[in-house]
Amino acid sequence: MSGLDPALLGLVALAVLVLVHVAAQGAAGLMAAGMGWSVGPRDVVADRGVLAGRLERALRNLLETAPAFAALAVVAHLAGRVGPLVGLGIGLWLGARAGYVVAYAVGCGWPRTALWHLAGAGLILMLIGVLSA
Amino acid sequence: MSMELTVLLLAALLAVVQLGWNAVRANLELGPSWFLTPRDGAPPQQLPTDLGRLKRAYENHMETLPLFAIAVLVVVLADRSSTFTIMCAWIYLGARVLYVPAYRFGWVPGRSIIWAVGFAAIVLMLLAALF
Repeated sequence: MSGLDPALLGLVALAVLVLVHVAAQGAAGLMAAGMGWSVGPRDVVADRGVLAGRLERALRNLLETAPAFAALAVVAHLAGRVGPLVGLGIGLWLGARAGYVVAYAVGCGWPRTALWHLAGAGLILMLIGVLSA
Repeated sequence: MSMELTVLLLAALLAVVQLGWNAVRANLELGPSWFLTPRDGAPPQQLPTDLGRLKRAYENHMETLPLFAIAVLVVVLADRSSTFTIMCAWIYLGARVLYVPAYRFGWVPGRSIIWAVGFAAIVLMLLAALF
C-alpha cells in the first residue's frame, strides 16, 4: 500500500464501504424477496423485509455525506494538506460510518445517531484541516 | 488525458444520456400539469413498465458511478495506471452500457450477471490501486 497517502487510502476505504453496503442490502433483499424477484426486472415492489430496508436506508444515508468526504479528501491530496487533522477526520468518519451501518442493521437507535454525529465531526475536522494549512 | 479518465468521462456521458432520455419520456408521459409543478404529491399515474425499468437502470448506474470515479481518481492521482486498470475501466463501461437493454428487455439472469461484472471490475480496480 506504499505510495497512497491517508486521503487516497480513505477514498479507497470509502469505495469498499459503499461496496459492502450495496452487497449487504442486495443479499438481504435476495433472502427476503427470493431469487425470482431479485434477478427479474422488479416491475412490482416486493416486500424485502426489515433488514434489507434498514441496510438500504443506511446506504442512502451514507451516500448523502460521501460526496463531501470525497471532495475534502481529493482537495486535501491535491493541495498537499493531508496533515494530522485531516488524517484524524478521515479515520473518524470512516470508523463512525462503519459502526453506523452495524448499529442500523441491529436496530440500536441512540448509538446509530451518536455515530452519525461522530462522522459529522470527522468531516468538520477534515474541513478545518483543509482550510488551515 | 489517461485512458481511465476518458472512460470515466464516457461513463458520465452514459448517465447524461440515460437521464435525458428518461426525463423526456417521463415528461411526455405525465404531462406539463405534473412536471411544471413542484411535485408535492404523488404523480398522477404510474410510469409504464418499460420506463420504470429504464428509470431503475439509471438509478443503478448512479449507485456504481461514484465508486468507479473513486477508483479512477485514485489510480490516476497515485500513478497506478496499468494495462490491467485500463482493461477494468473498459469492462466496467461495457457492462454499464449492456445493463440498460438488459433491464429494459428483462434479461434473466443476464442483467444480474452483467451487474456483477461491472461491480467486479470496480473491486479489481480498487485492489489494483491499493497494492
